Amino acid sequence: MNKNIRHIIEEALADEVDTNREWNRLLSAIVKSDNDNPAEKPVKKRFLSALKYVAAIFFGICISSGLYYMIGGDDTSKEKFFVVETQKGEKSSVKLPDGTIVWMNACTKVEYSKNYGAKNRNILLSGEAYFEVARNPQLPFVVKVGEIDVTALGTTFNISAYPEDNELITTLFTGKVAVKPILTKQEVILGPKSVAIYYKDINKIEAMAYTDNRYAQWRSDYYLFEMAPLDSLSKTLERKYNVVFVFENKKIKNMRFSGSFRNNQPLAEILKIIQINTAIKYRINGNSIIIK
Amino acid sequence: MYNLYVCMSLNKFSYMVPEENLLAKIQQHDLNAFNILFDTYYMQLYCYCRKFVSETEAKDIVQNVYLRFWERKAYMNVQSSVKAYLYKSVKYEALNYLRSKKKQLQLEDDFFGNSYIGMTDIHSIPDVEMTYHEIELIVERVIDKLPDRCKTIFIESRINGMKNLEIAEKMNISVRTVDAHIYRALKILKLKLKDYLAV
Repeated sequence: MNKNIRHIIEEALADEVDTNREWNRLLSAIVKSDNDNPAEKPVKKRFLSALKYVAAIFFGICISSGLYYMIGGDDTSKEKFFVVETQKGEKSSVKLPDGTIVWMNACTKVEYSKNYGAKNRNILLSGEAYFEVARNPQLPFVVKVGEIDVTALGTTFNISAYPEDNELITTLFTGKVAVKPILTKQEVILGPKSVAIYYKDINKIEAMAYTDNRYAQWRSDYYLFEMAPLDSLSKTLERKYNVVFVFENKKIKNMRFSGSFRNNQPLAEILKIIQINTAIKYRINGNSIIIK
Repeated sequence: MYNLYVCMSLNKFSYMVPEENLLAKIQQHDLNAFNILFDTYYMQLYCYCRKFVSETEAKDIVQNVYLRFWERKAYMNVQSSVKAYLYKSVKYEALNYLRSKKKQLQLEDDFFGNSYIGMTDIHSIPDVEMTYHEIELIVERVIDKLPDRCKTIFIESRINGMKNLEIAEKMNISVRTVDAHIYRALKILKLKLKDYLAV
């Protein structure tokens, strides 16, 4: 009886929450969290930390580290990660120990372990980045983005993986990459000038040729939007110009807009253009832009 | 320990799995077991949050509670009640969230006639069990008050598990009529629930 009532409540509130979708969301967070903290048997962990304590008390720090490594603590220890992060309105780049260059868009975080380049070339990405991968046939370069892994040998490609977006987009310029979602067995190999889009909500991946300049535009001279809903358009602008969009009328979020902007066009001009084309009204209040 | 394992392997994987077994499996990183736990308590935790925060905020709070549970699973005693942990956790999370929000917005809301954000006593705020029980009562009352035919059809469908076609044949009416009655019942339920959640 209880289960039935629960299902009825789920049905009645289906327009505001979808349990399956929430589960998938949790799953991606778990995958990422498990990547950061490799699973350890609790007993072993407690044993090791207890041992560290005892050793430190009686033998001093040098010997305690010796004991730690002797017991094979090396691979069960938590890896040290280097983290590079950009805020809204920022861009940055980082050169990894093997010579790979990562160009980061706004609101992006890149993490790599201090062992990077030695046993693996794994990095964690949240946000958007463009990669110029140094060649190393022995160690594949793998970008982990929660729901998907992108593996490359020596290539240039862009990944858009903002946590709040439903699509994870990999754009390949030169070379070859494999895009592998974690939750399904589908794997997509991209050749040059192709795009792979992974849809988080339906857990499906699609590949296509890169015909227009719709992806990885942040690095080029202009942005091109084709029937883009204002919702996602505003998110791109939020990250780039460090503002917040507030939609007083939710229906406006779904209005579509087609047009192009120069990469460094002032936000005020962009808003005017959008207004002319969509007849929306807006008001600027400090860092917030209120759309009516 | 061995006996327990034998029992688990004989069990069909269903909602009948006793909670200690579920926890043991979850501690072994069994995501299917965790999924069952997730489904069992999700609506209770979500609806509780929705009494005082928005949809997005409620979803985020519940996500955090489950995620933290998963991260801490190794440290849970198999004897401890997972349900109690989740209930306490979400109440704590929701309160914390509201306190920090209050600091930002300097608002004083009214909830059950009390100025609850000012209260530091966690016991004076209604808990998950109570809130969800009220919601169950609302659902039962709404169903009870449905017009006769609508009520019969809805119960046959959503409580007794009959298919729409079966109901239509049994009552000698068209499937479209059955659909319409169910749709109507759900619409009323949705209205009453949204009213109760009121944020």
